[in-house]
Amino acid sequence: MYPDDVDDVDRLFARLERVDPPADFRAQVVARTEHRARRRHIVGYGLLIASVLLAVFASFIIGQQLRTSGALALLAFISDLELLAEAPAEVALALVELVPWHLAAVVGAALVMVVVAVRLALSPSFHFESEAGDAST
Amino acid sequence: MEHGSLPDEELARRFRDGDALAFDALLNRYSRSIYNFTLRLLGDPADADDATQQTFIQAFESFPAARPGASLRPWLFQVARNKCIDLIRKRRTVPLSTFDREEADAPQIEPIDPTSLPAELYEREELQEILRDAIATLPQRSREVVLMRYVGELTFAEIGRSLGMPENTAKTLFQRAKATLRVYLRKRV
Repeated sequence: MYPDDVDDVDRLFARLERVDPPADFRAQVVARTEHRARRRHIVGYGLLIASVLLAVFASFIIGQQLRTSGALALLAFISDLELLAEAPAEVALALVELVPWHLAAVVGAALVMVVVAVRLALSPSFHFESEAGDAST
Repeated sequence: MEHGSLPDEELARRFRDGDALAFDALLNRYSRSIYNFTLRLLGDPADADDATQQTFIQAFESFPAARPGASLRPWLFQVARNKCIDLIRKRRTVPLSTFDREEADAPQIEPIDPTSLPAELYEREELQEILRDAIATLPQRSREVVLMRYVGELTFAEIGRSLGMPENTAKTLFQRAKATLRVYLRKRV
């Protein structure tokens, strides 16, 4: 166990009693692990649905606003590459004024939520074999 | 090949790949030593059970994301130690100041006593109680080092990794702790 410099204190503490964990230890760990995994998956899928709906809704509102305000046509005009090359500052200014940034921020946040939700929903969840040996044995 | 005979690294790799039996094998391999470690740190079987369960739950949830080269054993003991600290903070069963006490607060140890412990000590009926009490006299950091060494059978390099200290510091702490233990054990004879 300790190849080098084993002394009497080491030998004495080698006799320190090792206690087995409770008999249901493995079952408890598996149950708690599976319960937490289930909860994470429920939260993950719920968040995924909510964030996708939010992203779609916010994108729809952005589209509506751009269309009804006539900004969509203007956006198509200013996204012309030649114009962009000739007057980049003006194009940028027009973009700042036309795009509803608060809604774009909502879409961005929703997409971040999608990533988080996917990670939660796909977090590890194994099916433990019931016949596997108990941890205490 | 049976999971039980695979090395830690292989079990960890299989676990990362989604093999639940690999996790079961790790549970079987380390539950006893982690349980004994938490039991000696916390002193209460129910708390130790809880801390050990939490350690393996965290292992299940976090280890797949850990660095592929990360060594499992010191990592498990590090998690177990942190779970014990969390439990103590939550339940306040032990004053936190005791847990946070630094080695500098420990009484200065006389130069190492070269004489052997009396043989009768080995035969004492209350040996387990004496050993438990001896460990309890140690400052927290030393107690962790001693338990990782004697209960977990970790190498000094692994102890260093678990406690975030150089290997030589772990060795020094262990030697100082042994000197304290020797003094205490001699008094108990």
